Amino acid sequence: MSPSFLLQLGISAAFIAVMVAVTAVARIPRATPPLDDTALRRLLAEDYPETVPEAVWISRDGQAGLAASGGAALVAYRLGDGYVTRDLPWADLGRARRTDRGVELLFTGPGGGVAHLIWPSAVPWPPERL
Amino acid sequence: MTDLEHAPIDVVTLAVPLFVLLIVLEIGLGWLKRAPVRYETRDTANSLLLGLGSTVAGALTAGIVGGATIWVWHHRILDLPVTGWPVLGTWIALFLLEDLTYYAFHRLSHERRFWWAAHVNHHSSQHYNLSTALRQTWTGGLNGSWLLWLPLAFLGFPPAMIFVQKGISLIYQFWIHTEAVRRLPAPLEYVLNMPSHHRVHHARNPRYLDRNYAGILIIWDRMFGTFEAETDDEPCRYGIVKNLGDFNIFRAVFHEWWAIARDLVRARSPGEAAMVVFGPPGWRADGQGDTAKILRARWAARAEGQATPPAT
Repeated sequence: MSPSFLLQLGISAAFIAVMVAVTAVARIPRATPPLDDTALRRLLAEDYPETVPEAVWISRDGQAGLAASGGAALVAYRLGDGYVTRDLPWADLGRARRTDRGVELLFTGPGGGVAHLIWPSAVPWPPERL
Repeated sequence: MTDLEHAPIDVVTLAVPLFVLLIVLEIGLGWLKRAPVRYETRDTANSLLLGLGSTVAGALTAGIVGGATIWVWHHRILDLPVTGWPVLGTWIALFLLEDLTYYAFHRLSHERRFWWAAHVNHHSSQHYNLSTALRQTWTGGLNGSWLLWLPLAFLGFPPAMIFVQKGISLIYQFWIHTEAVRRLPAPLEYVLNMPSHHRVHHARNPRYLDRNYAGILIIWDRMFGTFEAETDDEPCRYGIVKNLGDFNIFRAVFHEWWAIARDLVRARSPGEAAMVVFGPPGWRADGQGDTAKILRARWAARAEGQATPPAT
């Protein structure tokens, strides 16, 4: 790579740093209120329109939620100023890692992601479906 | 090397200050609440870094792409006018044919997984703002999509003109990545690719999937049946069918290649392996994959079911 190209790269990198700083200072992300039952169901209806959750549970901080639909667990969790949804077999919930505050669901596929659910230790995991 | 073989200027590099200014202006409009502009810091960082990485990746393959284009041009079938007033006709023809080529490339990049894998990072943001425009491919030089432009050189368009026109198209497409502009006058909306058309293109709502592939002229979508108008009844939700789970920039670039490799390992026959690579994104052997066609059909069926009153 030529010196001029490297110079161009360096200047571009500096501009990127400035632009990211401007974005951070401007503070104009989407409003992302914590999840409640209605919001979680609406979110899941967009990504899984053919499923009807039988029951939903919301993380205590409102940053993630879990729904039961047939043999599947549907999960939504906050990423930046939006939410990401994932699905997995309900039976796989038992493999979630327990943390001090709750459980951590790691999605190892190409799309990746990790959902943290603040879950009282007194409440069983996976939750009981009525 | 002659001026006809090698572009004397890189129009995209020249336009970078304009990109920066327009992004700052858009952020300013959002900050002043003059337009529905939304920026998320990590998302913006990813968009800009993907743009930077794309220039590095492009530089690595530029020699091959440029060399091949020049070689083909030396075997051209026409000697098109490149001086005086007649060059205007050459530019007009190139403008139309390059834009048609872009349409074909862009459609291929969405409807066949091998090319989608290189293009998907452009769509991986849940935001739609000017920084999203800079989320360019890192692996597009490797999947051979540049071969689609070689017929232009074979026809007789000089490589320098082709590269300048490609740059002009890329610059044009920058400004349409915004929510700050709602609609423009109908004649413009009918002919040109506008922010409202391209919002549809970036939307993940089933009704909007795989629509509006245009570069500059939206007429190609109208002609080939891939046009979809933005409707206020259904606001665009941006991103991909299965949004990425984190802000890892390498995941944005390589996740679909990884998914192809994983699915190839699981393929049970050469035919299935071929479909994994060259079938539509989301394809599954059982026919129940989340391809755009299937998702649109399911959406249409649901919409029809809701519109039809139950029989009494």
